[in-house]
Amino acid sequence: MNQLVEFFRSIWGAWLMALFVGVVVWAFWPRNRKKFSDAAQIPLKDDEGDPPGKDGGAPPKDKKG
Amino acid sequence: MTAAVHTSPGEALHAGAEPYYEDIVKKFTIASVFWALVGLFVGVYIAFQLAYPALNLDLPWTTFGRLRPLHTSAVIFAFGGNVLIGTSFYVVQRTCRAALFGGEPLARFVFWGYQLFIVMAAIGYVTGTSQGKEYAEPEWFVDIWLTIVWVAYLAVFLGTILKRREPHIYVANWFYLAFIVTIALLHIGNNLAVPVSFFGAKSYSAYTGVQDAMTQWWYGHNAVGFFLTAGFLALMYYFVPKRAERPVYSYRLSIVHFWALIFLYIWAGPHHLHYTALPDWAQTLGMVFSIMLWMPSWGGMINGIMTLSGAWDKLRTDPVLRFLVTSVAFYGMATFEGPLMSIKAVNSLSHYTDWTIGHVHAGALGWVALISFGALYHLVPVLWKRPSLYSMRLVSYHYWIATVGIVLYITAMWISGIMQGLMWRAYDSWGFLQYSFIETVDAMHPYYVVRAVGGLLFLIGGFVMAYNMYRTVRGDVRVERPFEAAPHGAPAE
Repeated sequence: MNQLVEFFRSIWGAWLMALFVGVVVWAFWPRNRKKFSDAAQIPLKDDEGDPPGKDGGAPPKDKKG
Repeated sequence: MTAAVHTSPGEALHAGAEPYYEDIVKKFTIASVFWALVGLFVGVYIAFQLAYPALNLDLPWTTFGRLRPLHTSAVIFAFGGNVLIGTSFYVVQRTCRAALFGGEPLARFVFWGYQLFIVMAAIGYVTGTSQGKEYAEPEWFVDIWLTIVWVAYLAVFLGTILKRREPHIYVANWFYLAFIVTIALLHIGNNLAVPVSFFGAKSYSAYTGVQDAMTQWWYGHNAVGFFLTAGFLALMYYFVPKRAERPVYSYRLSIVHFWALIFLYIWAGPHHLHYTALPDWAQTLGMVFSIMLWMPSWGGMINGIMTLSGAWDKLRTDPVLRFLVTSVAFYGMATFEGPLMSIKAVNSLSHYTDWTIGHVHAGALGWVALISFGALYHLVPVLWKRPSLYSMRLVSYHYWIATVGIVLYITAMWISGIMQGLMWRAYDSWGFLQYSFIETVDAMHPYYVVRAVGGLLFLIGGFVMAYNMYRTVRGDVRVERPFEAAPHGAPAE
């Protein structure tokens, strides 16, 4: 048992690599596409309920100068 | 816990829930601008000291050795730290659709506690109370105070994420959380020390010799990696899409970007210790991981810049977006240069020279400061409920003044640094060193002057920003020709 633990400990680099590959697979798994493209919208819809007309200080759209 | 709090006019209501705490973000915004001016001023002063040593005034408190940590801490921890904490409080509330955990009192403790840390650290540097670790100079009692404040900060941030009403945790919050957790780890790990007496400031590090050096640069490089990179990438992932009004180029790339950065950065520290007593294998390990960092760095840069694809015209009409996008370009440039300099053969020329200073400032001025300015310009009208900034023209002037300043700074340091490295290793036909040390110092003088002028321009830009923000907060809008009115094809300015 102890030997087994020692062995799996010694290949910790492989564990981290497997974990990272898992993350990449998860990120690019076709079924997750919609979930992530929805998540990308979060900052763009975060001012619902704010006072109207607030544009984050962007330059005025009309030509009032 | 946060239900029974007052709603000041400055706090936005989000659909049917407790109000966001925006007053605290205003405090952090003001503190950011204030410390930016202080930190940049000290930087310009010591840059002129290097060119004209008489400016050290022959006083112990104003020597380069004491003012230099004052400059680095003021720009990194005071300016950068206030930007990071302030924007994190803003972003986490909005992207989680939840008010800050712990409410006004806890957030206020984080704010004032952090400012107290800055002031205590600064007084220590000027009076000569320092533990002599680069970027970790404050003595043990200041370190303990910062630990308390930081745990409170973690509680506010994590608590807000836990009570979120948005099911998904937006990627900017991942970067913020990595920054908070890793800085806690690094700060405690590197600052383990034994005070000499209970009421005395002096302490000795728990580490000795090469272990001390390795721990210091494990701390030092990951302060770059998780404070100056991960933290400000969180700004990129919120403010660039927000300002461009488009979602980030690839959310899936942002996930890979995050985890690749987290897995790789922590190993890169040994590249600060090439050709030292550190074992050779550890140096090579640090070099290899530094080079691998090219991939996540450039993945992240592409993700940030390509967010504008289809909206490039906004760069012409919105100088705030120009700040944000230029900062990401500098991020790409600085993270290309960094791994290059970590290669041992290159490092044997660049180490201990001004090239390193130039590299740091390409990152600090070009990436960290520009993205912070962009985020602050976006935040001020939002927080104070103004229709727009006082003047978009002034933002544009600030942009060009600052950019010219950066270019002067980093080109001067490249030339000076490479020249310095070459002069140090030059031998004459007899096998003797060709130049004495003072000859190399003398040769650098003109570049020191150019560098100081570049820094001065950057500082002037900071004052332009402070004035613009002051007028914005007062509610003024300058009458000026809008950028859209420029004839087609003509330059916008």
